[in-house]
Amino acid sequence: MAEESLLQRLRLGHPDALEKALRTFGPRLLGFIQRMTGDRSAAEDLTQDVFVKLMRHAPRLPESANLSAWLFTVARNQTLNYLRDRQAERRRPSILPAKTEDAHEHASRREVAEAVQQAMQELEEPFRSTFELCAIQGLDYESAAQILGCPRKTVNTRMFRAWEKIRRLIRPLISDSKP
Amino acid sequence: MNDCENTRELITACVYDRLDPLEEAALQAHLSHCSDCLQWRTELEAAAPIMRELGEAPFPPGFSDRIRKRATSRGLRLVKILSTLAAGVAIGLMLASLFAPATARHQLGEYLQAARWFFRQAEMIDPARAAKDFSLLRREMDAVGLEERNRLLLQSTSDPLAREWLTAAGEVLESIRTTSDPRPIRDKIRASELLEKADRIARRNGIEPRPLSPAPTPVLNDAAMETFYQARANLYAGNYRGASILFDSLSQDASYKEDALYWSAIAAGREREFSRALDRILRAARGRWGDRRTAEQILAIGIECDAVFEGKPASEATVEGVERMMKGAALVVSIPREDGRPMVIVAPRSDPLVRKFEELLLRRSAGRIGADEFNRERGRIFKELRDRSEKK
Repeated sequence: MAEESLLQRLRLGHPDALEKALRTFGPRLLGFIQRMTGDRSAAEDLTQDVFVKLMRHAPRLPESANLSAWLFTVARNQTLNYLRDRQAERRRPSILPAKTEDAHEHASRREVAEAVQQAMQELEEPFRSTFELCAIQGLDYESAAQILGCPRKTVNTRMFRAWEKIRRLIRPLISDSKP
Repeated sequence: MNDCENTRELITACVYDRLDPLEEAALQAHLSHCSDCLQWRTELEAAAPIMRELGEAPFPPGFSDRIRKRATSRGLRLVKILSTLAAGVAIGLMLASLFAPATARHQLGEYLQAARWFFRQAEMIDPARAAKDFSLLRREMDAVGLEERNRLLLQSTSDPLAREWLTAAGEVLESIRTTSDPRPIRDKIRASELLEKADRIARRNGIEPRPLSPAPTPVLNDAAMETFYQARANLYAGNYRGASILFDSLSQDASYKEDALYWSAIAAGREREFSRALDRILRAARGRWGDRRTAEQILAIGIECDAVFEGKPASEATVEGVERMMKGAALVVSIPREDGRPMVIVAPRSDPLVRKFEELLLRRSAGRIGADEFNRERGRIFKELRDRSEKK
């Protein structure tokens, strides 16, 4: 189902619309929030909140609204609020473990993926959100700029800076990996 | 930024977005002689598809059902409430926060704390202050139509958890309402009993009563309190710009400056100012509204407000009023009627009277006029607004 059509069905309160929205966006939003918070259980709560908001606001969303941008905007705002709340006790996972003797072996895709996720925890806002939206969720710069409320050019600069940092942290793995 | 940095920005855009032909040509030209940037591109291109695979997190079993249940039950409640309102129930404001047990808990908690504080004051600290604060609290309850909303919500929901919260909230509101003056000894005994009861309700519902504030909160004069109500009404209705202006005007009142700055920063949604204000007045804010989390929860309640206004069918006014206020295009004014009940008016900001009112507030916030002149002018504007609404 195209995004516009899904939005239309949500606006009209069609019974299967929430189901479709959950299937289309649910796992992506859960992944997004989980990486932003580093906390699975908080991510599940926040994801629920995003869909509750969707159902509440859907009838009033304009027909031309970009549904995925709207959902990621809500998800990001809620997550940032949550992170502010627990800033004091925020757990910063340690970055990549030191290289061990098997470092010369080729890193698997899974290892690279895990390393990227850990490295992302080291990014500050708004670099983390930007990187998550573009590199992980695959949104184009235009949509990301809409969600982040900044110019497209800024998205690119943040992406470059974010990748610079992540690259430094995962480089030993990525240069060995065979995608 | 040097050539390599420029090029790497282009590489990032090339992988994740798009390049125009000139950028593409510049990129190729640089890569033809720079092995470092070529390596940089190779690494990004190798990592990009792996990172894309991270996007989704599978739902745990039953998670979709939980979301579906929560999302649809709230939606249905909202429809029911709006239908009830459309049937002609005239209320000033309606807080959507009461739709959900979680947010009802925050609101209940807020009133429990207020009741607790006032009862304790009556018991041992400052009975005269307590009497005044009690009457102010009741006025605030009237201004936001809290008891009426609570009653309607209780009628409309069958969710057992929500019903428990709403019933508990109703008991607290009743206790605030029925203790007319906590000064006399009879009422002091009653106040103590109610305090115990409030604490029991709180504990039963998982709220740990907070310790009492070490410092008494400032007493507001009537004019400042009036402005405070206007500001809170705007904040709750989602008109942050209007609320911010009103809170700013209060900051001229020395006894209320800290709280006003705090609320103003919340209302303006300016994060930096908000953080700075929070740091500066954390101690005072804790005494009045609880910790930072509580303060943010109060803000969240404000964001979720719906509003109903005079002169239009309730459901229509709700949607239109909220939309206009969210855009900062309207201001909410709560004006006391002759019989003491508040009249809540939403007026577009293009309205000459509202403009005049905002200008007055700005003059007051800038300290260009004193409190007396401000009160006189405001009284005139309110009278005109009230007369105009009553004619309609």
